[in-house]
Amino acid sequence: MKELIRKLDKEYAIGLNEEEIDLIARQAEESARLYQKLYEVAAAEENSVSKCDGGEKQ
Amino acid sequence: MIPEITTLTIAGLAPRIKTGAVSPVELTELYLQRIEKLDPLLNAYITVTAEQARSQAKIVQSEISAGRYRGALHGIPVAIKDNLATKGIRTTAGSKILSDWVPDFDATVVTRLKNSGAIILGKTNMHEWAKASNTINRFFGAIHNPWDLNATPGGSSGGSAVAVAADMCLASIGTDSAGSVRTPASLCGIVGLKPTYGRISQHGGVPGTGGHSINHFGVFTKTVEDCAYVLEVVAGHDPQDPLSVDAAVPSYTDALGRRSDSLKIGMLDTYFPENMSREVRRAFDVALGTLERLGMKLELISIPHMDLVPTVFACTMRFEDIAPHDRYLRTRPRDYSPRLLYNQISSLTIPEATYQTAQKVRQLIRREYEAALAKVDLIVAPTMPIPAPSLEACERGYAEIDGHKVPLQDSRGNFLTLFTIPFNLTGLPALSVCCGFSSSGLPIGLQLIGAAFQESTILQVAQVYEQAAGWHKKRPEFPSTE
Repeated sequence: MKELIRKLDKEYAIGLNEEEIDLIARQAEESARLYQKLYEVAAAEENSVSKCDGGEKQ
Repeated sequence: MIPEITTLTIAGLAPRIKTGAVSPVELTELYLQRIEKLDPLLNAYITVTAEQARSQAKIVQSEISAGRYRGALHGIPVAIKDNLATKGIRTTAGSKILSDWVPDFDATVVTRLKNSGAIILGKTNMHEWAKASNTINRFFGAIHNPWDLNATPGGSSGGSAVAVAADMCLASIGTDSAGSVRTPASLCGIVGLKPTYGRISQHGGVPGTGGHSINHFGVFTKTVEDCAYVLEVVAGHDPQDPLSVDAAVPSYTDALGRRSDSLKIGMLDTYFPENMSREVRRAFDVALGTLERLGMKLELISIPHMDLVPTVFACTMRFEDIAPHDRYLRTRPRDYSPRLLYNQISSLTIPEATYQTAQKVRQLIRREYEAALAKVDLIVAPTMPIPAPSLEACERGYAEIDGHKVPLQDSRGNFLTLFTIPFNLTGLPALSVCCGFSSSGLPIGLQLIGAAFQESTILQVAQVYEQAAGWHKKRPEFPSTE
Protein backbone atom coordinates (compact mmCIF):
# COMPACT_ATOMS: atom_id res chain seq x y z
CA MET A 1 0.00 0.00 0.00
CA LYS A 2 2.90 2.34 0.76
CA GLU A 3 4.04 2.07 -2.85
CA LEU A 4 0.56 2.98 -4.08
CA ILE A 5 0.48 6.03 -1.81
CA ARG A 6 3.94 7.08 -3.06
CA LYS A 7 2.69 6.72 -6.63
CA LEU A 8 -0.38 8.84 -5.88
CA ASP A 9 1.79 11.40 -4.11
CA LYS A 10 3.96 11.69 -7.20
CA GLU A 11 1.01 11.79 -9.61
CA TYR A 12 -0.82 14.48 -7.63
CA ALA A 13 2.40 16.35 -6.73
CA ILE A 14 1.34 16.63 -3.10
CA GLY A 15 4.73 16.31 -1.42
CA LEU A 16 3.84 13.95 1.41
CA ASN A 17 6.56 13.15 3.94
CA GLU A 18 7.35 9.60 5.09
CA GLU A 19 5.30 9.95 8.26
CA GLU A 20 2.25 11.00 6.24
CA ILE A 21 2.73 8.20 3.70
CA ASP A 22 2.92 5.74 6.55
CA LEU A 23 -0.23 7.04 8.18
CA ILE A 24 -2.28 7.07 4.97
CA ALA A 25 -1.06 3.59 3.99
CA ARG A 26 -2.10 2.19 7.38
CA GLN A 27 -5.50 3.83 7.05
CA ALA A 28 -6.01 2.53 3.51
CA GLU A 29 -4.90 -0.99 4.49
CA GLU A 30 -7.34 -1.04 7.39
CA SER A 31 -10.18 0.03 5.09
CA ALA A 32 -9.21 -2.53 2.44
CA ARG A 33 -9.31 -5.29 5.10
CA LEU A 34 -12.75 -4.12 6.14
CA TYR A 35 -14.05 -4.09 2.57
CA GLN A 36 -12.89 -7.68 2.03
CA LYS A 37 -15.88 -9.00 3.97
CA LEU A 38 -18.20 -7.50 1.35
CA TYR A 39 -16.92 -10.13 -1.10
CA GLU A 40 -18.08 -12.86 1.29
CA VAL A 41 -21.75 -11.82 1.00
CA ALA A 42 -23.88 -13.75 -1.48
CA ALA A 43 -24.92 -10.68 -3.45
CA ALA A 44 -23.62 -11.51 -6.93
CA GLU A 45 -27.14 -11.55 -8.37
CA GLU A 46 -27.99 -8.13 -6.98
CA ASN A 47 -28.08 -5.05 -9.17
CA SER A 48 -25.46 -2.48 -8.31
CA VAL A 49 -27.63 0.53 -9.25
CA SER A 50 -30.10 2.03 -6.76
CA LYS A 51 -33.24 4.06 -7.39
CA CYS A 52 -36.18 5.06 -5.20
CA ASP A 53 -39.56 4.60 -6.89
CA GLY A 54 -41.64 7.75 -7.06
CA GLY A 55 -45.12 8.41 -5.79
CA GLU A 56 -47.09 8.16 -2.58
CA LYS A 57 -48.05 4.70 -1.34
CA GLN A 58 -51.85 4.48 -1.45
CA MET B 1 -46.46 43.50 17.84
CA ILE B 2 -44.14 40.47 17.62
CA PRO B 3 -44.19 38.02 20.56
CA GLU B 4 -41.00 36.82 22.33
CA ILE B 5 -38.66 35.42 19.64
CA THR B 6 -38.22 32.00 21.28
CA THR B 7 -41.97 31.33 20.99
CA LEU B 8 -42.16 32.06 17.26
CA THR B 9 -42.98 29.40 14.70
CA ILE B 10 -43.79 29.56 11.00
CA ALA B 11 -47.25 28.15 11.67
CA GLY B 12 -47.93 30.81 14.30
CA LEU B 13 -46.52 33.71 12.30
CA ALA B 14 -47.88 32.96 8.82
CA PRO B 15 -51.51 34.02 9.44
CA ARG B 16 -50.32 37.16 11.26
CA ILE B 17 -47.97 38.09 8.43
CA LYS B 18 -50.80 37.52 5.96
CA THR B 19 -53.15 39.93 7.78
CA GLY B 20 -50.42 42.52 8.34
CA ALA B 21 -50.38 42.02 12.12
CA VAL B 22 -46.68 41.11 11.88
CA SER B 23 -44.33 43.09 9.66
CA PRO B 24 -41.67 41.09 7.76
CA VAL B 25 -39.41 44.14 8.03
CA GLU B 26 -39.64 44.15 11.85
CA LEU B 27 -39.39 40.36 11.98
CA THR B 28 -36.22 40.35 9.87
CA GLU B 29 -34.70 43.06 12.05
CA LEU B 30 -35.51 41.04 15.16
CA TYR B 31 -33.65 38.01 13.78
CA LEU B 32 -30.69 40.09 12.60
CA GLN B 33 -30.41 41.56 16.11
CA ARG B 34 -30.58 38.07 17.57
CA ILE B 35 -27.76 36.93 15.25
CA GLU B 36 -25.69 39.96 16.23
CA LYS B 37 -26.20 39.13 19.91
CA LEU B 38 -25.76 35.35 19.89
CA ASP B 39 -23.61 34.42 16.93
CA PRO B 40 -20.38 35.58 18.60
CA LEU B 41 -21.09 32.80 21.14
CA LEU B 42 -22.29 30.13 18.71
CA ASN B 43 -20.59 30.78 15.35
CA ALA B 44 -23.51 29.39 13.35
CA TYR B 45 -23.12 31.73 10.39
CA ILE B 46 -20.22 32.10 7.95
CA THR B 47 -21.91 34.96 6.10
CA VAL B 48 -24.81 37.12 7.31
CA THR B 49 -26.56 38.86 4.42
CA ALA B 50 -28.10 41.61 6.52
CA GLU B 51 -28.52 44.25 3.81
CA GLN B 52 -29.97 41.87 1.24
CA ALA B 53 -32.34 40.52 3.92
CA ARG B 54 -33.51 44.03 4.85
CA SER B 55 -34.11 44.91 1.17
CA GLN B 56 -35.94 41.65 0.57
CA ALA B 57 -38.10 42.21 3.67
CA LYS B 58 -39.22 45.61 2.34
CA ILE B 59 -40.19 44.08 -1.02
CA VAL B 60 -42.05 41.25 0.71
CA GLN B 61 -43.88 43.67 2.96
CA SER B 62 -45.09 45.78 0.05
CA GLU B 63 -46.27 42.64 -1.78
CA ILE B 64 -48.29 41.50 1.21
CA SER B 65 -49.71 44.98 1.77
CA ALA B 66 -50.83 44.94 -1.87
CA GLY B 67 -52.68 41.65 -1.28
CA ARG B 68 -50.14 39.43 -3.05
CA TYR B 69 -49.57 36.93 -0.22
CA ARG B 70 -47.74 33.86 -1.55
CA GLY B 71 -48.11 31.36 1.28
CA ALA B 72 -46.78 30.23 4.65
CA LEU B 73 -43.12 31.10 4.01
CA HIS B 74 -43.82 34.62 2.75
CA GLY B 75 -41.81 36.94 5.00
CA ILE B 76 -40.21 34.10 6.99
CA PRO B 77 -36.46 34.49 7.78
CA VAL B 78 -34.44 31.40 6.84
CA ALA B 79 -30.80 30.33 6.55
CA ILE B 80 -28.92 28.18 4.03
CA LYS B 81 -26.00 25.81 4.61
CA ASP B 82 -22.85 27.11 2.97
CA ASN B 83 -22.56 24.26 0.49
CA LEU B 84 -25.63 25.36 -1.46
CA ALA B 85 -25.01 27.84 -4.25
CA THR B 86 -26.44 31.32 -3.65
CA LYS B 87 -26.27 33.85 -6.46
CA GLY B 88 -24.03 36.77 -5.55
CA ILE B 89 -23.30 35.39 -2.06
CA ARG B 90 -20.07 33.54 -1.39
CA THR B 91 -20.44 29.81 -0.92
CA THR B 92 -17.49 28.22 0.83
CA ALA B 93 -18.54 24.63 1.63
CA GLY B 94 -16.70 25.36 4.88
CA SER B 95 -13.44 25.10 2.97
CA LYS B 96 -10.40 27.27 2.38
CA ILE B 97 -10.39 26.23 -1.27
CA LEU B 98 -13.80 27.81 -1.98
CA SER B 99 -13.50 30.63 0.54
CA ASP B 100 -13.87 33.29 -2.18
CA TRP B 101 -16.29 31.54 -4.52
CA VAL B 102 -19.33 33.64 -5.40
CA PRO B 103 -21.77 31.61 -7.54
CA ASP B 104 -23.71 33.24 -10.36
CA PHE B 105 -26.72 31.00 -9.81
CA ASP B 106 -28.96 29.75 -7.01
CA ALA B 107 -29.43 26.14 -5.96
CA THR B 108 -32.96 25.03 -6.82
CA VAL B 109 -34.00 24.95 -3.14
CA VAL B 110 -32.79 28.54 -2.78
CA THR B 111 -34.80 29.58 -5.85
CA ARG B 112 -37.87 27.84 -4.43
CA LEU B 113 -37.46 29.52 -1.06
CA LYS B 114 -37.02 32.91 -2.73
CA ASN B 115 -40.09 32.29 -4.91
CA SER B 116 -42.10 31.47 -1.78
CA GLY B 117 -41.15 34.87 -0.34
CA ALA B 118 -38.79 33.55 2.35
CA ILE B 119 -36.07 35.99 3.46
CA ILE B 120 -32.52 34.64 3.45
CA LEU B 121 -30.54 35.81 6.47
CA GLY B 122 -27.25 34.19 5.51
CA LYS B 123 -25.11 31.12 4.97
CA THR B 124 -24.46 28.74 7.84
CA ASN B 125 -21.20 27.29 9.09
CA MET B 126 -20.47 23.62 8.50
CA HIS B 127 -17.77 20.99 8.70
CA GLU B 128 -15.08 21.42 6.04
CA TRP B 129 -16.52 20.00 2.80
CA ALA B 130 -19.29 18.39 4.93
CA LYS B 131 -16.79 15.65 5.73
CA ALA B 132 -17.43 15.00 9.44
CA SER B 133 -20.01 15.50 12.12
CA ASN B 134 -18.35 17.55 14.87
CA THR B 135 -18.30 20.88 12.99
CA ILE B 136 -14.93 21.91 14.33
CA ASN B 137 -13.98 23.92 11.29
CA ARG B 138 -10.31 24.82 11.01
CA PHE B 139 -10.99 27.79 8.71
CA PHE B 140 -14.27 29.23 10.03
CA GLY B 141 -14.06 28.16 13.66
CA ALA B 142 -15.95 25.61 15.75
CA ILE B 143 -19.72 25.86 16.12
CA HIS B 144 -21.06 25.66 19.68
CA ASN B 145 -24.12 23.79 20.91
CA PRO B 146 -26.79 26.19 22.27
CA TRP B 147 -27.52 23.77 25.15
CA ASP B 148 -23.89 23.66 26.26
CA LEU B 149 -21.33 25.94 24.64
CA ASN B 150 -18.58 23.37 25.30
CA ALA B 151 -20.41 20.65 23.38
CA THR B 152 -20.56 19.97 19.64
CA PRO B 153 -23.84 20.72 17.89
CA GLY B 154 -23.10 17.85 15.51
CA GLY B 155 -22.77 18.23 11.79
CA SER B 156 -21.92 18.62 9.16
CA SER B 157 -24.89 21.03 8.99
CA GLY B 158 -24.13 22.24 12.53
CA GLY B 159 -24.65 25.93 11.75
CA SER B 160 -28.05 25.31 10.17
CA ALA B 161 -29.21 23.41 13.27
CA VAL B 162 -27.80 25.93 15.75
CA ALA B 163 -29.33 28.85 13.86
CA VAL B 164 -32.79 27.29 14.31
CA ALA B 165 -32.25 26.03 17.87
CA ALA B 166 -30.99 29.43 19.06
CA ASP B 167 -33.75 31.34 17.23
CA MET B 168 -31.38 32.96 14.76
CA CYS B 169 -33.80 31.99 11.93
CA LEU B 170 -37.10 30.12 11.71
CA ALA B 171 -35.99 27.38 9.33
CA SER B 172 -32.85 26.34 7.56
CA ILE B 173 -31.66 24.01 4.84
CA GLY B 174 -28.86 21.48 5.28
CA THR B 175 -27.43 18.50 3.45
CA ASP B 176 -27.29 14.94 4.76
CA SER B 177 -24.99 12.31 3.28
CA ALA B 178 -24.34 10.46 6.56
CA GLY B 179 -26.80 12.09 8.95
CA SER B 180 -25.69 15.70 8.58
CA VAL B 181 -29.25 16.99 9.05
CA ARG B 182 -30.54 14.47 11.60
CA THR B 183 -27.38 14.37 13.72
CA PRO B 184 -27.25 18.10 14.53
CA ALA B 185 -31.05 18.23 14.82
CA SER B 186 -30.83 15.53 17.48
CA LEU B 187 -27.96 17.17 19.37
CA CYS B 188 -29.65 20.59 19.26
CA GLY B 189 -33.17 19.37 20.21
CA ILE B 190 -34.98 20.44 17.04
CA VAL B 191 -36.68 18.79 14.06
CA GLY B 192 -34.49 17.64 11.16
CA LEU B 193 -35.86 15.86 8.10
CA LYS B 194 -33.92 14.01 5.44
CA PRO B 195 -36.59 13.14 2.88
CA THR B 196 -36.54 10.28 0.39
CA TYR B 197 -33.66 10.31 -2.09
CA GLY B 198 -34.84 12.36 -5.06
CA ARG B 199 -37.61 14.19 -3.18
CA ILE B 200 -35.66 17.48 -3.02
CA SER B 201 -33.52 18.61 -5.94
CA GLN B 202 -29.80 18.65 -5.26
CA HIS B 203 -29.05 21.04 -8.10
CA GLY B 204 -26.68 23.69 -6.77
CA GLY B 205 -25.13 21.59 -4.06
CA VAL B 206 -21.36 22.01 -4.03
CA PRO B 207 -19.82 18.89 -5.65
CA GLY B 208 -17.58 17.01 -3.24
CA THR B 209 -19.80 17.59 -0.19
CA GLY B 210 -21.56 14.22 -0.29
CA GLY B 211 -21.51 11.10 -2.46
CA HIS B 212 -23.99 11.40 -5.34
CA SER B 213 -26.09 8.37 -4.37
CA ILE B 214 -26.16 8.98 -0.60
CA ASN B 215 -26.48 12.76 -0.30
CA HIS B 216 -29.81 14.46 0.38
CA PHE B 217 -30.93 18.02 1.09
CA GLY B 218 -32.97 18.41 4.26
CA VAL B 219 -34.92 20.77 6.47
CA PHE B 220 -34.45 22.09 10.03
CA THR B 221 -37.28 23.68 12.01
CA LYS B 222 -38.38 24.02 15.64
CA THR B 223 -41.60 22.06 15.14
CA VAL B 224 -42.89 19.26 12.93
CA GLU B 225 -45.65 21.46 11.53
CA ASP B 226 -43.08 24.04 10.41
CA CYS B 227 -41.09 21.25 8.77
CA ALA B 228 -44.17 20.27 6.74
CA TYR B 229 -44.56 23.88 5.55
CA VAL B 230 -40.95 24.10 4.38
CA LEU B 231 -40.96 20.66 2.74
CA GLU B 232 -44.04 21.60 0.69
CA VAL B 233 -42.04 24.48 -0.78
CA VAL B 234 -38.69 22.83 -1.44
CA ALA B 235 -39.80 19.33 -2.55
CA GLY B 236 -40.52 18.32 -6.10
CA HIS B 237 -39.04 17.35 -9.41
CA ASP B 238 -36.33 19.52 -10.95
CA PRO B 239 -35.22 19.00 -14.56
CA GLN B 240 -31.82 20.37 -13.53
CA ASP B 241 -31.29 17.41 -11.19
CA PRO B 242 -31.54 14.15 -13.16
CA LEU B 243 -31.73 12.23 -9.88
CA SER B 244 -34.75 14.13 -8.57
CA VAL B 245 -37.93 12.10 -8.81
CA ASP B 246 -40.88 13.19 -10.93
CA ALA B 247 -43.60 12.45 -8.38
CA ALA B 248 -46.41 14.69 -7.15
CA VAL B 249 -45.74 16.59 -3.92
CA PRO B 250 -48.64 16.03 -1.54
CA SER B 251 -49.83 18.61 0.98
CA TYR B 252 -47.71 17.60 3.96
CA THR B 253 -49.58 19.99 6.25
CA ASP B 254 -52.87 18.27 5.34
CA ALA B 255 -51.43 15.00 6.66
CA LEU B 256 -50.91 16.49 10.11
CA GLY B 257 -53.62 15.60 12.58
CA ARG B 258 -54.62 12.38 10.83
CA ARG B 259 -55.32 9.47 13.18
CA SER B 260 -52.19 7.54 14.07
CA ASP B 261 -53.57 5.17 16.67
CA SER B 262 -53.70 2.08 14.49
CA LEU B 263 -50.23 2.38 13.04
CA LYS B 264 -47.60 -0.34 13.43
CA ILE B 265 -44.17 0.84 14.54
CA GLY B 266 -41.10 -1.35 14.03
CA MET B 267 -37.94 -1.46 16.11
CA LEU B 268 -34.79 -3.21 14.97
CA ASP B 269 -33.70 -6.14 17.10
CA THR B 270 -29.95 -5.58 16.51
CA TYR B 271 -27.45 -2.81 15.71
CA PHE B 272 -29.26 0.02 17.49
CA PRO B 273 -29.76 -1.70 20.88
CA GLU B 274 -26.09 -2.69 21.24
CA ASN B 275 -24.71 0.72 20.34
CA MET B 276 -26.88 3.16 22.31
CA SER B 277 -25.76 4.64 25.62
CA ARG B 278 -27.76 4.17 28.82
CA GLU B 279 -29.12 7.73 28.73
CA VAL B 280 -30.23 7.38 25.11
CA ARG B 281 -31.82 4.01 25.87
CA ARG B 282 -33.75 5.52 28.77
CA ALA B 283 -35.11 8.39 26.63
CA PHE B 284 -35.87 6.00 23.75
CA ASP B 285 -37.79 3.63 26.02
CA VAL B 286 -39.87 6.51 27.38
CA ALA B 287 -40.58 7.63 23.78
CA LEU B 288 -41.72 4.09 22.87
CA GLY B 289 -44.05 4.18 25.87
CA THR B 290 -45.51 7.46 24.61
CA LEU B 291 -46.12 5.98 21.14
CA GLU B 292 -47.86 3.00 22.76
CA ARG B 293 -50.03 5.28 24.88
CA LEU B 294 -50.98 7.07 21.66
CA GLY B 295 -52.36 3.75 20.43
CA MET B 296 -49.56 2.60 18.15
CA LYS B 297 -48.47 -1.03 18.11
CA LEU B 298 -44.79 -1.81 18.58
CA GLU B 299 -43.16 -4.70 16.77
CA LEU B 300 -39.61 -6.07 16.58
CA ILE B 301 -38.19 -6.35 13.06
CA SER B 302 -34.98 -7.79 11.61
CA ILE B 303 -32.61 -6.61 8.90
CA PRO B 304 -30.31 -9.62 8.35
CA HIS B 305 -27.36 -7.70 6.84
CA MET B 306 -27.56 -4.71 9.17
CA ASP B 307 -24.04 -5.36 10.51
CA LEU B 308 -22.63 -4.56 7.05
CA VAL B 309 -24.17 -1.08 6.89
CA PRO B 310 -21.07 0.81 8.16
CA THR B 311 -18.74 -0.99 5.75
CA VAL B 312 -20.98 -0.54 2.71
CA PHE B 313 -21.51 3.06 3.67
CA ALA B 314 -17.81 3.86 4.19
CA CYS B 315 -16.87 2.36 0.83
CA THR B 316 -19.71 4.14 -1.00
CA MET B 317 -19.10 7.53 0.54
CA ARG B 318 -15.33 7.50 0.07
CA PHE B 319 -15.46 6.20 -3.50
CA GLU B 320 -18.25 8.47 -4.74
CA ASP B 321 -17.08 11.69 -3.21
CA ILE B 322 -13.46 11.70 -4.31
CA ALA B 323 -13.84 12.55 -8.03
CA PRO B 324 -14.99 16.17 -7.49
CA HIS B 325 -11.84 16.75 -5.43
CA ASP B 326 -9.43 15.54 -8.07
CA ARG B 327 -8.47 18.96 -9.41
CA TYR B 328 -8.10 20.47 -5.92
CA LEU B 329 -5.93 17.54 -4.84
CA ARG B 330 -3.71 18.23 -7.85
CA THR B 331 -3.55 21.99 -7.39
CA ARG B 332 -4.19 22.89 -3.73
CA PRO B 333 -3.67 19.76 -1.61
CA ARG B 334 -2.38 21.66 1.42
CA ASP B 335 -5.51 23.80 1.51
CA TYR B 336 -7.35 20.84 3.00
CA SER B 337 -7.00 20.30 6.74
CA PRO B 338 -4.41 17.52 7.19
CA ARG B 339 -6.80 14.81 8.40
CA LEU B 340 -9.14 15.42 5.48
CA LEU B 341 -6.24 15.39 3.00
CA TYR B 342 -5.12 11.99 4.31
CA ASN B 343 -8.68 10.61 4.07
CA GLN B 344 -8.97 11.88 0.51
CA ILE B 345 -5.74 10.19 -0.59
CA SER B 346 -6.81 7.00 1.16
CA SER B 347 -10.10 7.13 -0.80
CA LEU B 348 -8.15 7.13 -4.07
CA THR B 349 -6.99 3.59 -3.30
CA ILE B 350 -10.48 1.99 -3.38
CA PRO B 351 -10.82 -0.27 -6.45
CA GLU B 352 -13.91 0.08 -8.67
CA ALA B 353 -14.67 -3.62 -8.12
CA THR B 354 -14.91 -3.06 -4.38
CA TYR B 355 -17.32 -0.18 -4.89
CA GLN B 356 -19.50 -2.28 -7.21
CA THR B 357 -19.52 -5.13 -4.71
CA ALA B 358 -20.56 -2.68 -1.98
CA GLN B 359 -23.46 -1.53 -4.17
CA LYS B 360 -24.69 -5.10 -4.56
CA VAL B 361 -24.67 -5.60 -0.79
CA ARG B 362 -26.37 -2.23 -0.46
CA GLN B 363 -29.14 -3.44 -2.74
CA LEU B 364 -29.58 -6.49 -0.51
CA ILE B 365 -29.94 -4.24 2.53
CA ARG B 366 -32.41 -2.00 0.70
CA ARG B 367 -34.62 -4.96 -0.14
CA GLU B 368 -34.50 -6.11 3.48
CA TYR B 369 -35.76 -2.68 4.56
CA GLU B 370 -38.50 -2.77 1.91
CA ALA B 371 -39.64 -6.12 3.26
CA ALA B 372 -39.62 -4.80 6.84
CA LEU B 373 -41.59 -1.70 5.84
CA ALA B 374 -44.22 -3.87 4.17
CA LYS B 375 -45.01 -5.21 7.66
CA VAL B 376 -44.91 -1.95 9.64
CA ASP B 377 -45.86 1.65 8.86
CA LEU B 378 -42.74 3.24 10.33
CA ILE B 379 -39.48 2.26 11.99
CA VAL B 380 -38.21 4.10 15.06
CA ALA B 381 -34.68 4.28 16.45
CA PRO B 382 -32.63 6.78 18.39
CA THR B 383 -31.05 9.36 16.07
CA MET B 384 -27.69 9.17 17.84
CA PRO B 385 -25.99 6.60 20.09
CA ILE B 386 -25.08 9.32 22.62
CA PRO B 387 -25.97 12.90 23.55
CA ALA B 388 -23.60 15.63 22.31
CA PRO B 389 -19.95 14.94 23.20
CA SER B 390 -17.80 17.88 24.23
CA LEU B 391 -15.77 19.72 21.61
CA GLU B 392 -12.71 18.57 23.55
CA ALA B 393 -13.78 14.91 23.22
CA CYS B 394 -14.21 15.43 19.47
CA GLU B 395 -10.71 16.89 19.23
CA ARG B 396 -9.09 14.03 21.16
CA GLY B 397 -11.15 11.43 19.26
CA TYR B 398 -12.98 9.53 21.99
CA ALA B 399 -15.82 10.05 24.45
CA GLU B 400 -16.48 8.56 27.89
CA ILE B 401 -19.73 6.61 27.57
CA ASP B 402 -21.18 4.63 30.49
CA GLY B 403 -17.70 4.34 32.01
CA HIS B 404 -15.96 3.25 28.79
CA LYS B 405 -13.71 5.15 26.40
CA VAL B 406 -15.41 4.93 23.00
CA PRO B 407 -13.51 6.05 19.87
CA LEU B 408 -15.58 8.53 17.87
CA GLN B 409 -13.91 7.32 14.67
CA ASP B 410 -12.75 3.78 13.90
CA SER B 411 -12.31 1.56 10.86
CA ARG B 412 -16.11 1.26 10.56
CA GLY B 413 -16.34 5.03 10.26
CA ASN B 414 -17.93 7.70 12.42
CA PHE B 415 -19.52 6.49 15.68
CA LEU B 416 -21.81 9.54 15.79
CA THR B 417 -23.46 8.68 12.48
CA LEU B 418 -23.90 4.95 13.09
CA PHE B 419 -27.68 5.34 13.51
CA THR B 420 -28.27 7.68 10.58
CA ILE B 421 -26.21 6.12 7.74
CA PRO B 422 -28.60 3.17 7.14
CA PHE B 423 -31.08 5.66 5.67
CA ASN B 424 -28.53 7.35 3.45
CA LEU B 425 -27.75 3.94 1.97
CA THR B 426 -31.41 3.01 1.54
CA GLY B 427 -32.58 6.52 0.56
CA LEU B 428 -35.52 6.14 2.95
CA PRO B 429 -37.00 9.27 4.53
CA ALA B 430 -36.05 9.85 8.18
CA LEU B 431 -36.83 12.60 10.66
CA SER B 432 -35.34 13.43 14.05
CA VAL B 433 -37.53 14.91 16.79
CA CYS B 434 -36.49 15.66 20.37
CA CYS B 435 -37.37 12.84 22.79
CA GLY B 436 -35.82 14.09 26.01
CA PHE B 437 -32.67 15.37 27.68
CA SER B 438 -29.63 13.80 29.30
CA SER B 439 -28.80 14.27 32.98
CA SER B 440 -26.52 17.13 31.92
CA GLY B 441 -29.30 18.84 29.98
CA LEU B 442 -28.37 17.81 26.44
CA PRO B 443 -31.09 16.91 23.92
CA ILE B 444 -31.68 13.36 22.67
CA GLY B 445 -33.37 12.63 19.34
CA LEU B 446 -35.89 10.04 18.19
CA GLN B 447 -35.63 8.99 14.55
CA LEU B 448 -38.73 8.03 12.55
CA ILE B 449 -38.14 6.23 9.27
CA GLY B 450 -40.71 5.48 6.58
CA ALA B 451 -41.03 3.74 3.25
CA ALA B 452 -39.91 5.71 0.20
CA PHE B 453 -41.96 8.89 -0.27
CA GLN B 454 -43.90 8.35 2.96
CA GLU B 455 -42.87 11.71 4.42
CA SER B 456 -46.54 12.42 5.19
CA THR B 457 -46.78 9.46 7.56
CA ILE B 458 -43.51 10.39 9.25
CA LEU B 459 -44.64 13.98 9.78
CA GLN B 460 -48.05 12.85 11.00
CA VAL B 461 -46.61 10.52 13.67
CA ALA B 462 -43.79 12.89 14.58
CA GLN B 463 -46.26 15.67 15.27
CA VAL B 464 -48.56 13.49 17.38
CA TYR B 465 -45.50 12.39 19.37
CA GLU B 466 -44.11 15.95 19.64
CA GLN B 467 -47.40 17.31 20.98
CA ALA B 468 -47.75 14.46 23.49
CA ALA B 469 -44.15 14.65 24.71
CA GLY B 470 -43.86 18.45 24.72
CA TRP B 471 -40.04 18.61 24.54
CA HIS B 472 -40.20 21.22 21.77
CA LYS B 473 -41.34 23.80 24.32
CA LYS B 474 -38.01 23.63 26.16
CA ARG B 475 -35.60 26.30 24.89
CA PRO B 476 -31.88 26.81 25.49
CA GLU B 477 -30.81 29.71 27.71
CA PHE B 478 -27.78 31.88 27.09
CA PRO B 479 -25.45 33.81 29.33
CA SER B 480 -26.07 37.54 29.19
CA THR B 481 -24.11 39.15 26.37
CA GLU B 482 -24.97 42.74 27.40
